[in-house]
Amino acid sequence: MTAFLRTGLAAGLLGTNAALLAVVAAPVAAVALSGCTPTVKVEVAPINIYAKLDADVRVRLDKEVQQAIQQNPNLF
Amino acid sequence: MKRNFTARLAAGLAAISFAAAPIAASALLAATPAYAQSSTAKAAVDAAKAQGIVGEQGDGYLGVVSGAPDAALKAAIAEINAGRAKVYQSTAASTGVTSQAAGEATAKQLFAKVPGGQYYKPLGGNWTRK
Repeated sequence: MTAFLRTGLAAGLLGTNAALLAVVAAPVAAVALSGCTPTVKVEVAPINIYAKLDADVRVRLDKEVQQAIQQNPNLF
Repeated sequence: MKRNFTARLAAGLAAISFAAAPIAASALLAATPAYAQSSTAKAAVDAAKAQGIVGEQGDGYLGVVSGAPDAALKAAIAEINAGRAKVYQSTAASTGVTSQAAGEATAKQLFAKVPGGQYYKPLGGNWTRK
C-alpha cells in the first residue's frame, strides 16, 4: 500500500521516467526479497496502461477524471 | 417609434446573451456528462464499504472484498459499476485514451480518498486495508 502511494507521489513529483522507474522498481524489489516467482509477471502488466501514457495526456486525463468524479457524486 | 425599436432591439440582444450563457455552460458540462444514477445504490455501497465488504479496485470499479453480498448489494454494485463504465467511456473519448486507462486514472484519485479502515485493491495486488 505504501509502496503504491509512494509510487504515485513519485510520479507526480519526478515525471515520467522516474515514475516508470518507481513502478518497475517496486515489483523488482519484491522479487529480490521473495525470490524469483512467476507471479511477478502477472503483477507488472496491468499497471503500465496508465503509466505508459504521455505526461501531457496524463495531466489532461487526470483533470477530466477529477471533473467526472465531482459531477457523478452517486457513482464515486 | 424608432426609439422604441432600438430599446426593443437592445432588450432582445440582452435576452439572447442571457440565454446563451447557460447554453455555453451546458455545452462544457456535456464533455463529462452526469449519468442517471441512484443515491440508494450509493448509500448501500457506502455502508458496505464501511463494513469492509466492498472496496475500490485499481481498475476503477467496485469489488467485493470478502463474503457473499446479498442480492440488493450485488445490484447496487452492478448499477454503480455500469454507470462508471459509461463515465470512463466518455472520459476516454474526450482525452483519446482507452476506457481502461480512464478507469485506472480514476482509481488513482479514488484511492487517495479512501477513508482509513476501508479497503482498496491496487492493480495486480491484494485487498489492502487503509
